[in-house]
Amino acid sequence: MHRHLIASVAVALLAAMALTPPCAWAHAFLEHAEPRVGSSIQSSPAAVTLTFTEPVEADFSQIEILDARDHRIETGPLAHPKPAELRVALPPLAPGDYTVHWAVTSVDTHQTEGRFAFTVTAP
Amino acid sequence: MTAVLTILGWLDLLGTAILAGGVSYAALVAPLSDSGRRVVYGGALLVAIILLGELAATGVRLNALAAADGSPLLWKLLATHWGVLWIVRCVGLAAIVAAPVGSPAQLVVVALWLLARSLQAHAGAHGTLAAMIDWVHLSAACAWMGGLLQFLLSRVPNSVNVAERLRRVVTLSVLALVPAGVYGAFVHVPTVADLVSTAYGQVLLAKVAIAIGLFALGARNHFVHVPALQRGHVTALGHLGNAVRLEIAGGALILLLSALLGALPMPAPTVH
Repeated sequence: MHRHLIASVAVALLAAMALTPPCAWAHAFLEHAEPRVGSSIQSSPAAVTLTFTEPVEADFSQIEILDARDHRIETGPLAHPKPAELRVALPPLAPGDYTVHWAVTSVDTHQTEGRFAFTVTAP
Repeated sequence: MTAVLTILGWLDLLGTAILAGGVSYAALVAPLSDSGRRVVYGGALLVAIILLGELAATGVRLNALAAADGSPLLWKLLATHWGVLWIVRCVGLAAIVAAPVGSPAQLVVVALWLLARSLQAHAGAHGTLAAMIDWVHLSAACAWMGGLLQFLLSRVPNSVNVAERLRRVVTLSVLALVPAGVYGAFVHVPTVADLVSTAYGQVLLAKVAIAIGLFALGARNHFVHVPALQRGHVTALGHLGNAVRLEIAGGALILLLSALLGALPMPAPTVH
């Protein structure tokens, strides 16, 4: 009985190591973004709004906006208008390329992050 | 970190199955033996230790993203959806241990305690319905695996009545387990392609393959070994015991894969 138990535990641990990928965060994914992912917009947006596939914890989530030189844009505080939605207000943006970097924690505490770009074509 | 989460999740599931399955066995099948009772309390102790480990590991994981507003990380963590359910699970565990073993009250507390776990995990993030279905799945798995373990530890495993009652509980568990598992698979893996192209889908397939093997073993117990025991065949008890040991080992492996599924990302949808 003991030998069976030890063998089962050993097999299970080996399986865990073999089956575990090097890095796998889960699992609130970006479902919708405003401005849209990869979009070009004619005027500076008032805010960046991200909608995720699942509710997120605002206290453990971040949204960062970077300009073309990777300088951080000062935004308003992170708002959490809906369980699966996060928003930051933006100052007027000059024409150019911008990157939104987001990192969020879903309600089951799994973390995801990603980035996307948008372009402002006119002030 | 995925490996740590998987091991923690696995030990959590093992302790949960031992505890909840032992309680359901005591309430629905037969009184626990002394060793069975010790194993149940050992399961409770394991879950208590793992709960503390999960709190620490979650705090470490989330620290980097914590809002810098000066409030302590622990309070912030305990105020989240996960943290509130962590507190509920701790209180529930204490209530289970305090209740008389096998009493209806203990069975009800165990059921609610399992619901808190389902709400706290992946399924809970998908909504209340997904969590309820996961609860049925988890409860059935605990009744099955924990019940088999208690049967092995029983001092009177040759009692035909005990085997017959356990057979009924296990059969009902499997009947609940399969549809709940299929529903969960559809919720978490939206396309067939995701089953083979994502790590989550591949682990799910491995889990299903082992589960089919366990169902085959269970069916042999149901249709061959237990009826043979009822007819008084002298070798039936030995065959039944061997099959139950194999089922428990397979069940432990399935719980490991379930823990891995709890740590892996589910297939991502298209962004628009």
